[in-house]
Amino acid sequence: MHGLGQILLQSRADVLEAWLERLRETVPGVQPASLQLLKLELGTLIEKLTGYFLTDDDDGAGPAFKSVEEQAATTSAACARDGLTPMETATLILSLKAIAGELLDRETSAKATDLYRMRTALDAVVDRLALVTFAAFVETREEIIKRQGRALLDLATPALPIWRHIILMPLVGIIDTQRARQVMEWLLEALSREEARIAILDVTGVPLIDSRVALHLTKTVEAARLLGSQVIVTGISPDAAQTLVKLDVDLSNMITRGSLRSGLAEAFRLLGQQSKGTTETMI
Amino acid sequence: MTKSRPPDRPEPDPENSGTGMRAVVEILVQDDILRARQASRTAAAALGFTTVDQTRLATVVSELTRNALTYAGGGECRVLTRLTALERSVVIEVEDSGPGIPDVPEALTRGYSTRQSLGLGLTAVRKLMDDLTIETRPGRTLVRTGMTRRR
Amino acid sequence: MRVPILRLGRVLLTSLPADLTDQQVMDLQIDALALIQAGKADGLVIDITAADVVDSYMARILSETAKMVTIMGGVAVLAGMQPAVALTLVEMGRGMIDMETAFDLEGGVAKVGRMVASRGGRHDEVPTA
Repeated sequence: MHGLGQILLQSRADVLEAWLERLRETVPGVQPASLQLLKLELGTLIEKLTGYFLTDDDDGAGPAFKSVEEQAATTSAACARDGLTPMETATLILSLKAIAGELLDRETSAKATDLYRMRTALDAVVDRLALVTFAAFVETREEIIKRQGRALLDLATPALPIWRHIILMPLVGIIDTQRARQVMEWLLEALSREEARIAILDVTGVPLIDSRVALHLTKTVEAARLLGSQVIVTGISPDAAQTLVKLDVDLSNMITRGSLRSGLAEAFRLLGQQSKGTTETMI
Repeated sequence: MTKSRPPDRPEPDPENSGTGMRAVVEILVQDDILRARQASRTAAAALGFTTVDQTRLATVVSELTRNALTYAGGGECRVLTRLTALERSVVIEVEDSGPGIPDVPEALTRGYSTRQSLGLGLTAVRKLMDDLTIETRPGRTLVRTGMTRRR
Repeated sequence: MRVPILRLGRVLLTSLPADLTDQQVMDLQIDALALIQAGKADGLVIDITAADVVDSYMARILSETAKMVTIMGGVAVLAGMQPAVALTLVEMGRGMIDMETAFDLEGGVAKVGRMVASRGGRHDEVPTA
């Protein structure tokens, strides 16, 4: 498709301008900074496309097409990062068909059959790019989601030494298995480090307490017991209490209190009990 | 026009990749269990595993090597490490030439035991590790288990 | 080498080394039970601060020792477990350590004191009416 390459080469600036115009139409709220970045990406994509059509290898297997595909993927990733929807991204790539179509319509020097062939070739390439774009878009989004997930997990859950021998750990957010493990690890380390006998685990900020969360809580309580410390779970909502009873979760080994305040009172009561047994009586 | 953005994913680093044998410990007496435990801990520490993961691994080695000593009169414990661009793993292999485990699925359920504590040991291994495979027949048993973490 | 058991008043104290063979754990059980039987103590505190691995075998022997001590009229407390060990034991399954625990040696001795008091006092004292 040498002819198509020549045409693109001559009017790539126009094509880019028309493309950006489409972008502004498709995504009305696009930020100027994003627009600048996407202009760069789309410009590169046109360069690569032009290069591909100029090489005359239009079976789509050569290195020239590979680099077009790669650039399409990069462009799509940029779209994903700048918050475009998959729909908008796909529309943007596919709009190249219409833009180039208009360009070919204006081209009067070529024969009608040639124009038709150029158009079919271009359509095939753009369709393929749309697929590549979609795959790259999904991949980038997944990468972003994974990274955000990790960032959430890494949000340190603080263990605050609020009194001699008492630490407080407020839990906020959804507790899944991975996070539950992490919380348990942090809690035990904090107990050991602060030489705490009591940990108050406040779950007011946990939106959902089901049997799985309850299981993790039970394990944490048991692990703390092995350390020689006790855990008081506070902030269990009426909803959570209803769920736990309906699910028949065994919490008999767990000290639970409705509010942080009553949990703190219980902590002091337990500490008082502990200090009663003195070393002297046995020596 | 040059690309302004660095690639999203790091390229695999051939210098820091590959599988390596970190230690081979012959299990003949009780002291060898301790040596195998120590070897696994050292390998895990070299890979930057956390204290908790090191403890999980050492506990698993303890269970498996004791099984080999109790039921097969001994065996061999191998500690392998594997590094890829994205992951690091420690793999433990314990091999013996004992009578074999007659019913693996049953040995993996808690409480089952041909002599005292085998069932519990294997269940614990499965819970502490990421994968566990058991090849067994009379005369040869190989238990392979791995722990994998992100780099 | 046998793990030494110290006596402090009416409490037996023992501290397990980092690396402990199965035989040493069994010997410890035998020695501790003999001392309780001889009426030399009411309680046993096993300190495992140094232990970096407690596997299912050791967990079972320790739990059994505690039960045996109880049957012989004494009380037993496990003290000073490392966080990583506690975590591993909990992940291995429920109830691996079936005995009383304390944060450290001091807490262990105090707990033995409380348990003996709630049981009705020391074995070498004539109860006062």
